[in-house]
Amino acid sequence: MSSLARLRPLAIPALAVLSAFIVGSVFLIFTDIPALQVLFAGRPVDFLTTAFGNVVHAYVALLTGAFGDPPRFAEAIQQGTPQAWATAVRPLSETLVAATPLIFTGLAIAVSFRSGVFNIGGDGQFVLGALGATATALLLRGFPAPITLLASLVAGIVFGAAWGFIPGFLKARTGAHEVITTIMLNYVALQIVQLALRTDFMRPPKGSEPISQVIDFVRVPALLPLPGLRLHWGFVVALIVAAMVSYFLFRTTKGFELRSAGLNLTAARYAGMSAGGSIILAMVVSGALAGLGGAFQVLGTVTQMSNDIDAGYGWTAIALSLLGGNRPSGVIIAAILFGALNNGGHEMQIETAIPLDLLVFIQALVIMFVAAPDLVRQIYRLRPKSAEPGAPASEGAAA
Amino acid sequence: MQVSKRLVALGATTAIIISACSGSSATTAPSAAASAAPTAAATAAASAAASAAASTAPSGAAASQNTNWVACVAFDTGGLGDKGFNDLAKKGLDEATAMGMTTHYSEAKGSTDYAANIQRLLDQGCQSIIAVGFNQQQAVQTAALANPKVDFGLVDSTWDPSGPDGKVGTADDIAQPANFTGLDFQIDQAAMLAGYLVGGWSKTGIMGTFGGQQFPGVTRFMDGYYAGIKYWDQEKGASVKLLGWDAVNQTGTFVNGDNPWGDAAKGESLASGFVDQGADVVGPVAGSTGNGSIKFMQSKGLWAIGVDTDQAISLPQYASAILTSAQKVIDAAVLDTFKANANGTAFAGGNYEGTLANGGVTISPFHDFDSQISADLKAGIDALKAKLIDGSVTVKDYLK
Repeated sequence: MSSLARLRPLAIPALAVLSAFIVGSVFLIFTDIPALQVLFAGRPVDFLTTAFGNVVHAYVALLTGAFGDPPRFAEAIQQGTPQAWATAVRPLSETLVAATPLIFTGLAIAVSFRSGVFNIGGDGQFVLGALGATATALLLRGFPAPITLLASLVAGIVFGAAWGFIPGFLKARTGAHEVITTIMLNYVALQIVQLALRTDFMRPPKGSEPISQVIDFVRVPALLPLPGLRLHWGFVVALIVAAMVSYFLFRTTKGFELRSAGLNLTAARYAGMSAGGSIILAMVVSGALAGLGGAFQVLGTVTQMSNDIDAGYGWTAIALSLLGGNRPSGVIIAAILFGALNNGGHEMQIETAIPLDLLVFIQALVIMFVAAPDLVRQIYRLRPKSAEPGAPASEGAAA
Repeated sequence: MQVSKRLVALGATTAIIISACSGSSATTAPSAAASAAPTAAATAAASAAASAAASTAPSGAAASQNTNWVACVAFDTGGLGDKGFNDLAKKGLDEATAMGMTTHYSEAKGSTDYAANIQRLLDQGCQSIIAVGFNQQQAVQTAALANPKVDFGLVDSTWDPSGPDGKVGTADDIAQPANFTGLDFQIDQAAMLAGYLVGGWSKTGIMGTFGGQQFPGVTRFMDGYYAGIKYWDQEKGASVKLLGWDAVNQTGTFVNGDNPWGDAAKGESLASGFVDQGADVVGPVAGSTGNGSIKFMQSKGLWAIGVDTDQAISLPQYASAILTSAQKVIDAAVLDTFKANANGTAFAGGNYEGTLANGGVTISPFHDFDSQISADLKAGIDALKAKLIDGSVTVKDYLK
């Protein structure tokens, strides 16, 4: 009973995901033109079996694309070669690769939301972190790889933190609303990247396309000793950083000040805490986390800076931070869920030619259902519970 | 608390949708010097070019085309629906499907997807994988080296030999492997014909051009316009001028800013500026920004040159202002590359080169203007085309 009760906070998110998939399948069925033609030809039974079969096929592709294909695991066990194992494990590895930047940006957003600051600038902090890391790597080319790597990661943190400091400072000193400044600074950051990618320092000597030189001479080591898998130590660092963020928020005085400011700024001020300092600190920490995510992305996953390094991580982070109740542990779970959806979505598209947009649709539905817990409770006839799971500020210690 | 939480949720949901939408539109820039290209244009181009290309394919034997082949395309973040390179490549892939090949494709949301998507296509059993967009260069090259039995191609780009040190011409350079095909377009040839046409058409003797950003894929068009006008001037002893691009010093007018490829209002104001300086034809090379210029020229009863696709068909509302377009026939290039891969034949030099000769580039039909363009001018264009095809004239000679 007690273990069941502990699972209770997961009920709403889990049912939200389930509901999103059900609604998604309705969407799939009624956009399945060949199947609909069968319906209009007056064969409703054939229509249902065809359309339902297509939905099952799509979702199976999504699942195997996200977590792996059982026959490939069987093959790997039989053959035992590293190559076979790599093929079997790759979907899972790619899910975690996709989740890694989302964990960093998700943590960044969670910290800011906990502090009552709405950092919508995760994208800008992420790309500048990636840019800073790339520039540092190029600058230190020729130095021993571990030194370059460490310096590049630090540069990512510094660039991201600096980009978070600006709106924090503006808010603390002038009251400029951070939602506006962070959104605007996203554009500025993208322009800085555009500009930087046009310099001879960044560009490969041959091409003049706006894309950086490949920096695989300094690379975050792979996590698994299997050929061709991209999962790197950045994922482990993300987990460690999540634990650190959790400790910082819930076990330190500074973290307490931030959360107090987030709950009630006036009260925090009355209690003698520096409101301006809290805002700046929250934005700097938030920016540093996003920047570190950008650094790991370019140093671990893609090894090249480009305009499209950012796949909307700063925006998605807002949704998944909310989904995770603005708790570091929740952010990790939500990031892996979104990573699995994104990763599996690609496999689904390759096998069934269903557009990736369906995944955005499903993600949006998940958020909507999570945001409307009463709706989910009514649909699934759950008993209402007084303590709202995952409310941003309802529990003192978590994660 | 409850209410505000839901507001945040709503905001977050909106944010994720917006990010998805803006993600696909904002990132089209690199691959989209392209403008709108609905299916009509692509179909026309494909059928025209497919027949032209079949005869020039290295196999030379269209009759014995092998169709037992798995052909795949990896799109970039511009994605399907970009009405540009991605859509045109899809058109080529669809032609391959129609021929009987098995096909798959993938879209990307960010640069992290490139290598992963190519690996997924490999796992799917693809035998040819063509990627769209220069952002995929690194991913394609790495995959080509790791999978020598699979054929790879890259639209609108060629092999980058610089090895780990990032420099060309050093000891660690990596030579282009036999299983890699660059899909390259000598679009300056087609643009030169368009420039020549403007030379004969312009009443004021002034053409204006501008680019979205200064990329080689953009300036190649502008070089072509420059060369075509210069050729006209030399042939006729005329003094037609090109504004917005100095091919000798490679400097000119570019939109830049945060929306170089989608700012129609900016396109209108740039066109207006050229008209104030006396131009009566503009050749924008700037995606949807250029559409604004075409619209402006139409409103003044003046003319424009389209790019990438036959814009008189893709933008029918502006057809009455579009003299012709300098077209890259991406779909034909993609299909030709698949056909060559399936037959096991290699292109000379390792790359598909879209030229006037093989139908990979072309100027589109004159449509409404066909009756207004004099027979002399058409003959002059044909003569120049013949010289560009046989090599007695090159674009480069006219950039001095």
